[in-house]
Amino acid sequence: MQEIEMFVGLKIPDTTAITTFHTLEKMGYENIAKVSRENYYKFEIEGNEDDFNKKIVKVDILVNANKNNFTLLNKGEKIKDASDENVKQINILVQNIDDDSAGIMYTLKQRLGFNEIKKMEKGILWKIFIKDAGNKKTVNEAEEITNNLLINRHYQKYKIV
Amino acid sequence: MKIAVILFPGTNCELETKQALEACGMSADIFRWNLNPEKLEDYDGYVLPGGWSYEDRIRAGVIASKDSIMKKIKEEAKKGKAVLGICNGAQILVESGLIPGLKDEVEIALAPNNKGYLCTWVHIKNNGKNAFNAELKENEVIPLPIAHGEGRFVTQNKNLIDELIKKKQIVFSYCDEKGIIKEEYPINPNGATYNLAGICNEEGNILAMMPHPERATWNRQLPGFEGKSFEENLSLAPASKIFLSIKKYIEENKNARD
Repeated sequence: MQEIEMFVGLKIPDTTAITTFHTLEKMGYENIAKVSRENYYKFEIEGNEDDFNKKIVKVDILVNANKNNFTLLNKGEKIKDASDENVKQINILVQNIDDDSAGIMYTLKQRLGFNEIKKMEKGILWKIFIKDAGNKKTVNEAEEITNNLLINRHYQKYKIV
Repeated sequence: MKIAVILFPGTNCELETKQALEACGMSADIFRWNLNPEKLEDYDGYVLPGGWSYEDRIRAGVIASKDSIMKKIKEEAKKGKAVLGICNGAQILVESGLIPGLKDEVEIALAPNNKGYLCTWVHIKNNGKNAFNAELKENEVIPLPIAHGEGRFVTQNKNLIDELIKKKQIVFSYCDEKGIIKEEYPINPNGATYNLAGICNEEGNILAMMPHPERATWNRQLPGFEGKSFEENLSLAPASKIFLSIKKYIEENKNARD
């Protein structure tokens, strides 16, 4: 079984990420440099990874080439880290507690013939860029932001990735 | 008697909410989110109408819940003023922690529906006594429309539902037209825990409800209106009793204060 993660971002301005940034400012988080966001999909497939990767990015359901960009990661590969000496990038994956990927998986398998997919997950990957105040402090702050704004713990969960 | 109908960017039910309040004998102003919140003190009550505040960014209601106007509404609610959140307004009240308001935190969620976006008619049953149902009979069943994608009340707090029952905070439950509560779709349209359709705070002056009473205020708005007389269609429908109850509550509270 192969594991593939897919991250789909926007080429056009992401108004949700911009609103989130301004809301954090209003909430008193003054040391946030930037917020960005990508749709997250994780597939477990039986078959050739390269063939699957070539096919999945051409499906308009997940990626619209006119407005989206994407990254594919095979098992063991890591999300690109844009941290520098001043700004720390924290990646937070938010997912619903109840699996909500059944609809997309049905479409991919039944309508588009992706029979190699055996399991899938979806979520939102938030990237919070915090003006660095020491590694541990930035992680704590990102978790605080997640709990105060990015998730409602009664139906969502998160992990730092 | 003056009610502020709060308008956030993306709210879209403000006009019909204002008309419903006026039809029930109250005057109503549409109050924009970016006005001076201190002016809210001039009002006797508040309605947060339906829509898509801030385009439902992040999740429904959460951005509006962090707006400075909500701090003022919280303060005014503490004085006992009535606050009604309808649909997106309910989502804002839940995300702000005002509902159920037992602890100073978000205790419940309006999660995505089990069956996606729903736009249909439902029945709800009235329970308890609070600012929003004094004009309704005990266990009265009323027809109302719903239109939401995120309206399923859920909580991870295992004891919360028992507390809500004990403290009589469950105001409206989804039921069939005879008032029988069943968990199955379409009676419980969105899969809400315990068929929850509307919850109030412990004091009974803040209510978050997912169905839209402003879209069922007159009989002409109800299904089957074609078969009724002109006069009957001009008259108020059962859901108007929610607004009439707010009026009664404000009058009684004002009299008590005077």
